[in-house]
Amino acid sequence: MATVGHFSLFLALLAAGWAAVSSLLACIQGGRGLKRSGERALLVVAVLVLVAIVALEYGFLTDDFRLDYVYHYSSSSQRLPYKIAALWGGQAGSLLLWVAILSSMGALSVWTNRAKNRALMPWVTAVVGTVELFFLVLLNFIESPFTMGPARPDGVGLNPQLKNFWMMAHPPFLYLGYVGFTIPFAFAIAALATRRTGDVWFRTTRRWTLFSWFFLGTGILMGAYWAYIELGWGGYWAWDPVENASLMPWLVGTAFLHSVMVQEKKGMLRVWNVVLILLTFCLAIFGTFLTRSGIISSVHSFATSNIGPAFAIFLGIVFFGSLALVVLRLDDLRSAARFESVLSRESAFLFNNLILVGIALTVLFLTTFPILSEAVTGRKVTMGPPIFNLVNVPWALVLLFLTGVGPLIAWRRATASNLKRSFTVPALVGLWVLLALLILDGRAFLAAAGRAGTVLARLDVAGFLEEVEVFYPALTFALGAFVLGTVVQEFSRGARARARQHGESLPVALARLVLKNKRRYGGYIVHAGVVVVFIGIAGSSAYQKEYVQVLEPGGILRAGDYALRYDGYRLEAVDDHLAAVTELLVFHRGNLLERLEGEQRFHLNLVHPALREAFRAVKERADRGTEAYQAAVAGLYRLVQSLEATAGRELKTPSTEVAIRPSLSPLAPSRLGEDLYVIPLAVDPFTGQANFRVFVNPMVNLIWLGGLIFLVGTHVAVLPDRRERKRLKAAIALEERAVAAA
Amino acid sequence: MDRRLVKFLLLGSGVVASMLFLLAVGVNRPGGMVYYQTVSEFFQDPSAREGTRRIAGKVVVGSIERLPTGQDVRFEMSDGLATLRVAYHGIVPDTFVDEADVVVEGALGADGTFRASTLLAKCPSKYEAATDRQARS
Repeated sequence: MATVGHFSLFLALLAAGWAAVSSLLACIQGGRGLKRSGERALLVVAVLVLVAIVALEYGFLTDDFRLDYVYHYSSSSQRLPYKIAALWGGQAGSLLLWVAILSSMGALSVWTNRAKNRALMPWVTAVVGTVELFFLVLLNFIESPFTMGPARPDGVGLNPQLKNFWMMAHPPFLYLGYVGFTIPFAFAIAALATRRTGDVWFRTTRRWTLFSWFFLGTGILMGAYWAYIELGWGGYWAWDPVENASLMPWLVGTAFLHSVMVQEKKGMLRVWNVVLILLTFCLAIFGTFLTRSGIISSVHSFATSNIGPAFAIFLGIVFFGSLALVVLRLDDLRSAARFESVLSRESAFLFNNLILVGIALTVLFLTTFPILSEAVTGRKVTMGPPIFNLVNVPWALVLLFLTGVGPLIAWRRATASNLKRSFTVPALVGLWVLLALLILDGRAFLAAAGRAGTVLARLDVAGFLEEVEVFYPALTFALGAFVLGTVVQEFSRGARARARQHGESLPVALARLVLKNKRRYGGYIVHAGVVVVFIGIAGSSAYQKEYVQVLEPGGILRAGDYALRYDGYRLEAVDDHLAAVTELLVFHRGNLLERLEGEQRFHLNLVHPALREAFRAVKERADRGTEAYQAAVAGLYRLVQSLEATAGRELKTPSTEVAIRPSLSPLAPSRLGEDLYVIPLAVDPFTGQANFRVFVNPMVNLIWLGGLIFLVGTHVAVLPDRRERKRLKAAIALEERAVAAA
Repeated sequence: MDRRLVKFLLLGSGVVASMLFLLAVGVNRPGGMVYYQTVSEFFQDPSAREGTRRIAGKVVVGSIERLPTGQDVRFEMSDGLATLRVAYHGIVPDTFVDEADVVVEGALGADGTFRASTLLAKCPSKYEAATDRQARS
């Protein structure tokens, strides 16, 4: 099967090359045969890459440890889902998955455009073919997943921290997002090249863009959730380079989604839109590069490799090449319309764009500065999370405000009556929330305001911003209330108007209203989701509390209103690890809430023969829970210790299974969304003495809830829509007339 | 020039300028941009014994000594040229294993042991290669 995989990847390389060459020839000469041939070649690439995926999965499922890749990321004791997911556990497999997604999407775009956009398609296939070609060169010549080694009895196994459901799902989601932006990018290039720079390219790819943006966003949230439940540090976001790599294209993609609306309605911002999609695609490639090359040391870059230079060259060609194309076509992109007023929807969108791109570029600068610094001055440097927060939080708050303003303010020029009608109620709601919060915690806020004043008087801006941070959560909640106010107001006004006009009941009117205007109301739902995420982030980062304590079995730890009783522990030998499972009882103000279990695991290096045999013997015992079994596992712990002494190195990789008690009941509104988060830091397998680190994370579950709302909203917005199809047809007809006239 | 255009340009450049300003403030603030040294650079530095330092290196294989509190470890770190003894008190991350890339922050004690107050660890990238060697030995 490895030979099959090898060959299919090589043939895929040839096919992608042919797709790029024949499509380019078709662009120049306009031969219909070449055009068809290029499109068919893209379909062939998709099939061949899928064959390669199947071949590699076959290697995983049959434990073919002759394959280096299978040897490194799987083992015979690895459970089936993780054997399958091990495909993207390492470098070569991740790249293979990338190409598989890209080639499937390329094939799909060929299929959906088989009867339309015939003038654009050769360029689209040329661009997609070229990107595929690049990744297939990497896979064939630099990082092959089908390299063979000697026959080996067992594999090393997936890194234990990757053995988690969310970690299985997170990379494919992220890649769907990264890769998906290739299609709108290819259409943008095609539009520029053919001088068909009207609305067709982005209307055709509207759902591709939304789809990619959705998967990227969801992938980011899944990654955050994985970090939260698996890495055991009580947080979910650390401004790590790999996290930033996925955030940047998402931010610029968000800007793009908004600014194309201005082009749709007013024909403005045409250069800007092309630049945004170009930037989004480049950042997606750059994100893949950062993640896969290990160029910046990061907590979870699991790779260092020699694909760096190839990526840098490719990225350079893509960026400067497409930028040059934009410059060449500047005349075609000029628009007649102008901004009329600062108080208008187009201007709100423009500032939203400026902030989103500004934040993305700030993150880009802070993420890449360490590389630049080391390359230029030789000094090693790190950028801590405080800088990211200091720069980005204030602007994120302005962005939150614009989230409420943008959809409701009038196009062209807002009048006093438009502003009054749209914003009076939501603004009052927001102000009321702000006042209530300020009064509730009045003393703290007054003190902070006083300190901020004196610090500012000394012209110490950093100090001032630090003092002002106390107000961020209150501001977030108030702005969130304002935005939610606008959303609720829109839904209720729309539904009531419809109920009056059509004589429908309110729920029916509401449902039909949403279905008749999927984009608009889907967008509102997404906004509501984003607000909920913002509130979750503000609450959990501002009000997190931490407690650390060493406990003997029977001991009690107090964490605010919670009390945690350490009941006891048991030892286990399962899967590929030894575990000390701590059993905990959670009380809240004296009431027993739940029993929790947290584990400290040691994943053993089972390549060591003596350890492998001893571990298997204990693992296969049927008397779990008995004292004899406990003693046998304790014996394994001792064996590891003594073997480590002779081997002169550790034979175990620690990992922690945190215990989380979420509070999701609306009966306790003050704790809604709060997590009690317990990390067993060190458990002595012989005495049971354990060190616990406990976090109380208020509102953290709102982040995940916001993600679900975001999911619903995006789905509403991408549902097939007859009016959208009509608009696309009209845009194509208009474009054809314009081309015929010119 | 068009008055509206001027208004837009002023507002836009205000946004950009304030972002740059915040960036400059953030980079200079404690906890922002921090320089760090390799182990051998640290030893060559005449002022090594003064103040707080950040040092990067790799955990020397077999040097990890985990104390039963779970919050104390002693180990040696090296950059291939020089080796430094480190004592750390605090939360030990799961990624802290033999050959992990670590960055420690702290000060050199009188006994020549570096007392670290923060410890950042990154999974060794050659996780597999290390086990290969083990299997053969």
